[in-house]
Amino acid sequence: MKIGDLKKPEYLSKVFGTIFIVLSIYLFISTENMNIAFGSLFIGVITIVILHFKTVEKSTAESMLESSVLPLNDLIGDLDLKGDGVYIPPGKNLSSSRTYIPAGDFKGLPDIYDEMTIITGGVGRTGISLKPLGAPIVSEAKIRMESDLDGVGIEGAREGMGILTHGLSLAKSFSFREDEGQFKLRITHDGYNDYCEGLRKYSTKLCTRTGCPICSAYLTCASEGMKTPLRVVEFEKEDKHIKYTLEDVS
Amino acid sequence: MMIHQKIVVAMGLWTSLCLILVSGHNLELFGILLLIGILISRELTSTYTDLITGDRMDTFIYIGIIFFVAVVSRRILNILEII
Repeated sequence: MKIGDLKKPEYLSKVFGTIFIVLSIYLFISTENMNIAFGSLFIGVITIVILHFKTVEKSTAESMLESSVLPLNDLIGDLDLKGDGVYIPPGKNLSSSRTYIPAGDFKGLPDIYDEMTIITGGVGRTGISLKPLGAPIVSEAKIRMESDLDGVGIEGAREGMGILTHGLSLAKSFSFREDEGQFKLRITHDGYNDYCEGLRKYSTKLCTRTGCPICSAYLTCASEGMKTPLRVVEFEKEDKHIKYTLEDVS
Repeated sequence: MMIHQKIVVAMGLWTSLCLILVSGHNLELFGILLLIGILISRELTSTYTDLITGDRMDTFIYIGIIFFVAVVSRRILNILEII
């Protein structure tokens, strides 16, 4: 361990925890007020035991997130795919969620199977099918939920998004609601807004196609929860707010 | 702020509040109040915490329950004038 590592939260917590424990020992020995000593011991132990996560630098985490998005976005750009992304939940032919990007205007969903990446389903049904960039994040949310999102409805989808927001700290807040046959998803960024802006400078089309891992996780959560394919109809970014309008295309 | 950081901050504030409320030397009451605090924070954060954090919080709860049982047993024995 280097001296510089002491600035990391996991080491800093151990330093603070140790200070509280040492203080509690001193108070146990030198004073009669056991409550303060016991409280100090409790805070020290809980700080060391609960704050156990290893952390990485924010810039490192953002670079790693970008590394998965940018090559994929370049590939989609070179293929000249014009359609917006459709988030498809697991179903009869699929064991896991997929993101389908049509080559032209969307004219219905082709048959999509697990092993297919290039889809040639006839006129208007050609495109590519990829695993959503946010699928691993949704898997982590499912582990925390201790249940599956498979068709749990809008409330269940919101619960999954709640874990993405409050459990995994992907965003500050979110709202997901049904409005006149469409679904409105709003994500308010907190720590990842600079990362989002950086990606949007690179390509604004990214958000409506595959999305970044964060948006993709929310969209995958929505489609799995509703158990229906959801197509991105509208997208808007306003300050820290991201607004998606989604359409059921089942 | 991440969820486990919020838990630690909340427990720190709760401990400080309990110290103010139980300003005297009643260690039993103070311990039970801490147990109540950790039970509430476990319940409120159960869906958001990962399994490791949940297990570690459960360990605190088990220790707290043992402490609570010891306190209650001592009180009963006191009432029965056995000790």
